[in-house]
Amino acid sequence: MGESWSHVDTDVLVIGGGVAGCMAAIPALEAGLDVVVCEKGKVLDHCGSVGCGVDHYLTIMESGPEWDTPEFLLKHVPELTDGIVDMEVTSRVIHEMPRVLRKIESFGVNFKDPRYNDYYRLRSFGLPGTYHINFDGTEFKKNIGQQVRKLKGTVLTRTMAVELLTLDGRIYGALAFNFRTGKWFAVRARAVVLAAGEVNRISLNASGMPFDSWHCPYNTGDAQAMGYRAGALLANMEFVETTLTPKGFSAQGLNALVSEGAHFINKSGERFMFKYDDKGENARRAVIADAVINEYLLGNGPVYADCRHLPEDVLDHMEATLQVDRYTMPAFYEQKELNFREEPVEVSISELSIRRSGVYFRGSGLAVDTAGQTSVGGLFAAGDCATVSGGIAGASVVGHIAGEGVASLLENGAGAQSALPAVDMSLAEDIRSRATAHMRVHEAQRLSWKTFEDRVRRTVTDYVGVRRNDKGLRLALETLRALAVDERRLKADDLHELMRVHESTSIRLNAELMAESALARKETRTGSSHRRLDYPDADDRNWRRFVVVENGGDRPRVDTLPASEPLAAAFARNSGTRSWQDRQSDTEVAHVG
Amino acid sequence: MSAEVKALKSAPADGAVQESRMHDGTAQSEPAPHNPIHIDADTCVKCDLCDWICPGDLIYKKPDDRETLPEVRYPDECWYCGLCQSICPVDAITIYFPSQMIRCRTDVTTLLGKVID
Ligand SMILES: Cc1cc2nc3c(=O)[nH]c(=O)nc-3n(C[C@H](O)[C@H](O)[C@H](O)COP(=O)(O)OP(=O)(O)OC[C@H]3O[C@@H](n4cnc5c(N)ncnc54)[C@H](O)[C@@H]3O)c2cc1C
Ligand code: SF4
Ligand code: SF4
Repeated sequence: MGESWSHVDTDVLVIGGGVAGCMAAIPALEAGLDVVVCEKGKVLDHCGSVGCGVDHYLTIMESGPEWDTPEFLLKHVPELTDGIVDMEVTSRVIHEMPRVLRKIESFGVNFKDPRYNDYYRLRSFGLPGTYHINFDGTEFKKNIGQQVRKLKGTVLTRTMAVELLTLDGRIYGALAFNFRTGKWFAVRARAVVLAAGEVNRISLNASGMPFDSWHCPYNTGDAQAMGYRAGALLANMEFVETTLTPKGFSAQGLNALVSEGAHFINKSGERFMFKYDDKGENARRAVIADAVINEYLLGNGPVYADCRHLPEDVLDHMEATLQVDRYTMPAFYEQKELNFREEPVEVSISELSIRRSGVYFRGSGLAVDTAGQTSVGGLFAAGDCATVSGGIAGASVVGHIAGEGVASLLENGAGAQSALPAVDMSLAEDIRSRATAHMRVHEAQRLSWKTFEDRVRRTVTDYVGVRRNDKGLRLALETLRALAVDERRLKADDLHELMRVHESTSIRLNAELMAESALARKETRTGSSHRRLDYPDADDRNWRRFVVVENGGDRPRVDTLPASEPLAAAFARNSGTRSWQDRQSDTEVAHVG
Repeated sequence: MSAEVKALKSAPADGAVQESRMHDGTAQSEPAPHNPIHIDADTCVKCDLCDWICPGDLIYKKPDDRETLPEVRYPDECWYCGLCQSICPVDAITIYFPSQMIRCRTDVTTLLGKVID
């Protein structure tokens, strides 16, 4: 490993080159700013969750009917989110939807169905209108990635960001390393956008294989962890997300079946979904998962997805589009020797993620304002790591908002035209030597990141998962904190494992934030997204509130805020303007680490 | 530290997770992990694409070298996303699912949490 540093100076550093990261980079580049994207993948066109393609895009189109207006959707957001949502940010997001859609189309994404040469829109996930465009999104990521390259964004590939640099409460860059070459980067930037996705690998699933996950297993909450350490406020971290999967393969393979008319049945053959929601199989994802969990707990499992009643042409279409949800799904059924046309498919719940608990617009993660900025000056967040999110559309719109927010901040706001502070090299060396120490852990001390992560997953599954109570959460917190002490023993045998070790520590920290937040919310909300066995009912009188969490030194500091107000109302930087230039001569470095 | 925490901290994860718990200083006694990615050595044109595209950094291929086959270096970290297979210009890649996936016997209720009071 080289001793020297690669120093990079830029206007904007984007961490994570997925959907949100690319969509943030684009308006910043268009504004003439210099943009560096730091990405773990090698190819921008395919990295992140959607490298293999997507098939639905949630949007308002203002096509005429009332349901297709921002006002109509916005009116329904409180009920879609059970009242816990940042309405101010969501309002901006929904209003921006048509503009961002047109912009993505201008990159070459074709949202139209070639059969009709028109948009094919579907109603799904309990939304109050046919908001989802069904389209062939095989090239979606490629088109937006190409746009970043066309506008001459710089991409640091196979490079993992590990820590943000802050001076006097304002961001000025990040440290990162390339896990193929071992090269370390000290990037100075006038603004940073965190877009590294949601938290996965955090609980057990049916196959017992941690990388067999519904969402991308290489998104491990690094943005949330780095943001937390730098002082950013997080919200909604108590909510977990799960989905239904064909048992044994944690993939979204059931969506395609259910949206075309498959029924869920339990071991007695009963079609039970209407017991839980009058929309039946068309209910919100959180409701559907919750119903299946309940059937299993009632002893009515196994649960199956049943397609046998469907007409041949529908079954043909299903079979032809099986690979849309997951490219390898047809191979899975084939190797399993299961024919879903003739046999019901056994269903499991997936592992958990911290993302948006199956609910549109209620993201779990870094709190952002209407410009995508977090509570830390100059630090933005977008996509599945931010408090307003919603699949590729949410990531695109909030990403784009953040990119424009960065441009306007650097043009007019704090930090405009200013010189960047010098990197505190002793701090940087300290972070690097703590990181690389994982490669030199003594054999006798050695702890594998796999073992460590399994312990986190066991703890989360048992006590922080879909059934929670005070005692279990406290036990989990004690365990997770004890595991933190073991982190320095994590052994990396090579640079690839050094990346995994950093992911493992992000996962543990996010688990702790989830347990702390879940302990604070003394009610049940959105079914198994936050089910407190000791507070089994929703309590609208006392709990129309956000649970927020931030770095409190030794421990996370948890608080609550009324959900009627935007999260940004609690940002300290909004109570007085700070300017990092004022303090540049100050030698004290406020790195919270 | 309470007894429960000690137990949780050190407990071997049960049944299903065993295969993922290698490399804990006991690597020599562990079975080799299932390799999901089979590369047909005769068909492969050693083009580097699978190495480039894998989102998990699992496939290593000597760059710009038309002699060496790609190596699946971290097979137990595979997402089963199929990107490598879909990008391979000569269809040299086949993906095989392990028995834990295709003949999964896990009781789903074990994923639904433990209740202590
Ligand atoms: C198989 C699949 C199919 C889906 N289909 C749809 C669909 O049809 N419609 C829909 O609306 N949604 C879909 N989704 C959800 C959607 O993909 C996500 O909501 C969306 O991609 C979120 O965007 P993001 O930018 O936050 O995350 P991503 O697009 O996943 O990007 C995160 C990026 O950050 C990088 N990264 C992570 N950590 C670091 C680090 N420390 N340093 C540097 N880089 C890092 C990752 O490599 C990744 O490229 C699908 C998800 C999956 C997994
Ligand atoms: S993509 Fe296919 S042909 Fe190219 S190196 Fe990989 S296996 Fe060989
Ligand atoms: S299936 Fe996906 S994760 Fe597995 S080796 Fe291929 S590209 Fe990598």
